[in-house]
Amino acid sequence: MKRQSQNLRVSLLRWAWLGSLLLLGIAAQSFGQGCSQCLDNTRATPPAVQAAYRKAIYLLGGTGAALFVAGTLLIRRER
Amino acid sequence: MNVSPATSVALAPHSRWTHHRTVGFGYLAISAVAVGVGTVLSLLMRLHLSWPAWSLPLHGPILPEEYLGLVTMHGTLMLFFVLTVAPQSGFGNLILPAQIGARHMAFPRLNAASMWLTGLALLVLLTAFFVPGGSPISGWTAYPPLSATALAGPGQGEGMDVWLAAIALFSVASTLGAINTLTTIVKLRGEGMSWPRLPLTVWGWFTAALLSVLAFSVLLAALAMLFCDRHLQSSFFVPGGDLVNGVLLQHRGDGSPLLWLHLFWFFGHPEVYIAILPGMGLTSMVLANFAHRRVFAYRLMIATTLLIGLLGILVWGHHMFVAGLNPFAGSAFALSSMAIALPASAKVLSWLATIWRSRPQLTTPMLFALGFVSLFITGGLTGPILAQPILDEYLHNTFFVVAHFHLIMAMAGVFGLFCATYYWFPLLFGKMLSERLGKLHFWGTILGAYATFLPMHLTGLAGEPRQYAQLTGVPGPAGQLLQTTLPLQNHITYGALFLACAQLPFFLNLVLTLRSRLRASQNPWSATTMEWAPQAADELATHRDPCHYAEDGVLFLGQWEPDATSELPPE
Amino acid sequence: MPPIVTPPEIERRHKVHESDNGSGRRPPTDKRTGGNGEGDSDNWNDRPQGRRGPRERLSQVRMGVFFGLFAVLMFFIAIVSAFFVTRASGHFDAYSKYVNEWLPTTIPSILWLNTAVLILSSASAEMARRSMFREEDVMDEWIGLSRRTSQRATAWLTLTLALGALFLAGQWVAWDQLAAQHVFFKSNPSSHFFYLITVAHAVHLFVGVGALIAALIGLRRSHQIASRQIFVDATVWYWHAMGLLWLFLFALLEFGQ
Repeated sequence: MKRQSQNLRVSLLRWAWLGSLLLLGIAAQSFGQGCSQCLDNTRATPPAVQAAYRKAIYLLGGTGAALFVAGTLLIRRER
Repeated sequence: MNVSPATSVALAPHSRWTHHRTVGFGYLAISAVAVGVGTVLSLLMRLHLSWPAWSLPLHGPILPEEYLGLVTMHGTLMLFFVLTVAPQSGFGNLILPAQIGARHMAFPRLNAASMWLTGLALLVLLTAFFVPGGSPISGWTAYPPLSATALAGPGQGEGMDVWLAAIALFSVASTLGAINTLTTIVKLRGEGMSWPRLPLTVWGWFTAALLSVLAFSVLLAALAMLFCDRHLQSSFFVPGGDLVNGVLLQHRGDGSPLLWLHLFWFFGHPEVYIAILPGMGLTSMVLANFAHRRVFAYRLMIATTLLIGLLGILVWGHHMFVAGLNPFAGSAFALSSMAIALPASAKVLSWLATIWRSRPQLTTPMLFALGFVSLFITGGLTGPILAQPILDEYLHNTFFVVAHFHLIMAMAGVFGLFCATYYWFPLLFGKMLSERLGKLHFWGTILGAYATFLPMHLTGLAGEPRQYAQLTGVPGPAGQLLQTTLPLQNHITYGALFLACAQLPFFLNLVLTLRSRLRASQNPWSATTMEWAPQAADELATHRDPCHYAEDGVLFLGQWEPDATSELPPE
Repeated sequence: MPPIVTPPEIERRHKVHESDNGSGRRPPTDKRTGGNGEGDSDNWNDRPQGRRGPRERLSQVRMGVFFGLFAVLMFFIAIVSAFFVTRASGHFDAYSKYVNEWLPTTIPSILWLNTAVLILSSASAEMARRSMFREEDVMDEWIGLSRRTSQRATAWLTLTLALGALFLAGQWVAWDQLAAQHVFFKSNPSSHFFYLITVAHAVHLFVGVGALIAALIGLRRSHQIASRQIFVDATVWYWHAMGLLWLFLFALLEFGQ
């Protein structure tokens, strides 16, 4: 009996976690925020251009971060 | 008896001109010129905002384009030539080698070359005042398309070209200097100076140098492209069919100002960390020194320094929330920006935990370090607010933003610089700055800083826009709204004037101290880091982490002491 | 072959006496071998950091060059990310049709030849670098028996310099050919990028040519074999990086437009 209630509590907890994550996921904040003009501007932009910006952001940020990490890892070799 | 590391100058293998102390003082001199000019410009802006009809002696009234020129030059001088140069290159050269137990920088000639290049960049920038059309008017961020054509305003012709040249020179110089700093830290650490034993200042310099190497070259690329747009009719940043002042720009293609924003802020955001990271490291060390404690969570502080650097690369989009950035990208950048709050709060908590119930010695450097913490908290709290795209939609381009970055970057950075000056003065000149004048200087400065920049939050919330040359005489409800902020505006102006006058004790202090014959003792602050070691760098070895103090807070063990000869508890 | 078995650097060393403070911990002469070995028997550990062994200075310079290459890489990454954005960008015309003005620039086929030349120059640079570190010859050179390593490296570096100059001349020819087809910098967004990328790379290669010339002068003038090794090594690493960078940029221009 006690075991069962514990199981129940665990599964309830799991559902609570999932539910709150879901709630977080559908919260207004997790969708595009910002000015409505920006949203209009984005909607008027062809997907290819949006993809190009995305690619450029990944490239720039990714290379920068990778070089930063490489720089800090590189120094671990020096004693 | 006073064998300070300065005596190693005579032994150093390199000539006086390439010696790192010469170079460091050269950098500080460059910063001093820039901070002087930049402060005068900011006071002129304040005076003009409060009394638009006031006419500058020998010049006449300040015209709107001249006001924008003041904004641009103030920002450029302060951010590049003061906040980047003085903490990172100036004190980096003066202190860094001694602090890691090295005798010199890795590439002394390269080091000197980058200092002279920086000086040249400053000279070139200052000529912008005197070219036809005057100084550029597009702000230190130089957003196109207005920066991409001479049609946009009087300063956007030759003034803007001069600006581009100066910043390009500065980028090259900073990259070279950063390469030198990085190599020195990695390769020239003295005997026993392992990574975890490095003082947090060195970690700050290291992270900032790594960021400089990555960020300034992106700026250089963006400057080159902007130059092409201005003079070769390309269209990297100029939209197709763009009209500027009624004239159709003859450029081929569909460029995008947003692209400039991406490239510029990819540089610009790391740049603010370059300005503040050395100060954060110094604050940790100075608080621990005067609290006679270990730095709380030392390893964690190293990690947060690096983490701030890493995240700093990935947050540039939060400067572009209302610039046409895809709102989904905005959400991602908001998330990464708010993530920086974690390492930043960890740092604040470590500072507070380090001095918690420690009965610290309230010397002037300690006061300035505490002031740094205070300003960092005040300025930092508005960071997560501005990192919200929705809040930023209202607050962007208002004085709220001005208040935010002046508190957390400008004032905190300057407090870091004053802390460094008071703390290392005995090391550099063998004399102590007067504590009494120093304390007067501190209280005046912190009072002036808060009196100037705290009310800006309020005027910003009331809707006062940045970069407007004139706030009076605007018709309609907007004018009425601005009218309500005018009393506070005047208060801010008086605050700024007071803040400038509060620096007088500092100059008096410098003059009196340099003229006095009183020598400081060799290690007046009971500091434990290597730069205070009594021996010359050749015979030094590092034996322990920094900040070893006994429980009674009097005895201490320097990093250089070979063995625990006193009754200090073992590590 | 000089008859004296004392290379000049040892004579000069006697004058320096930088840090002999009479504590007696240091050997009287700051003898520094110029070879590849780590010199364990000399107790390098007694020396101040930064002059522990012949390799110390070399690895410093190498690290500086690598951090510099980080910066160069970021410079080109910035341009390349702008390339992607501009390639896709366009505008809406009066009939709300989306117009993209990007017309791919025809890459002159001489660039393939140039690429091959640059790869060859990198290979010869590597030969120069390797020859500077061949242990037996270095030992010979250090004791003054011959200057074989430096001579060999000079030959290879001169070849690299010639090939590098050939590459730059080839780039010039390519620009000329495009100009003959009336493709100029300002013609089209794609030609903006073609010229920007090739010219920026050529500027970096000019720096490399300058470094090669400096290394050649250094090989003749410098008295220390350690310095000669550093000159060649740093220059060659930079040269390799520029070659590798060109391969990526060329691939981008050839296939990425």
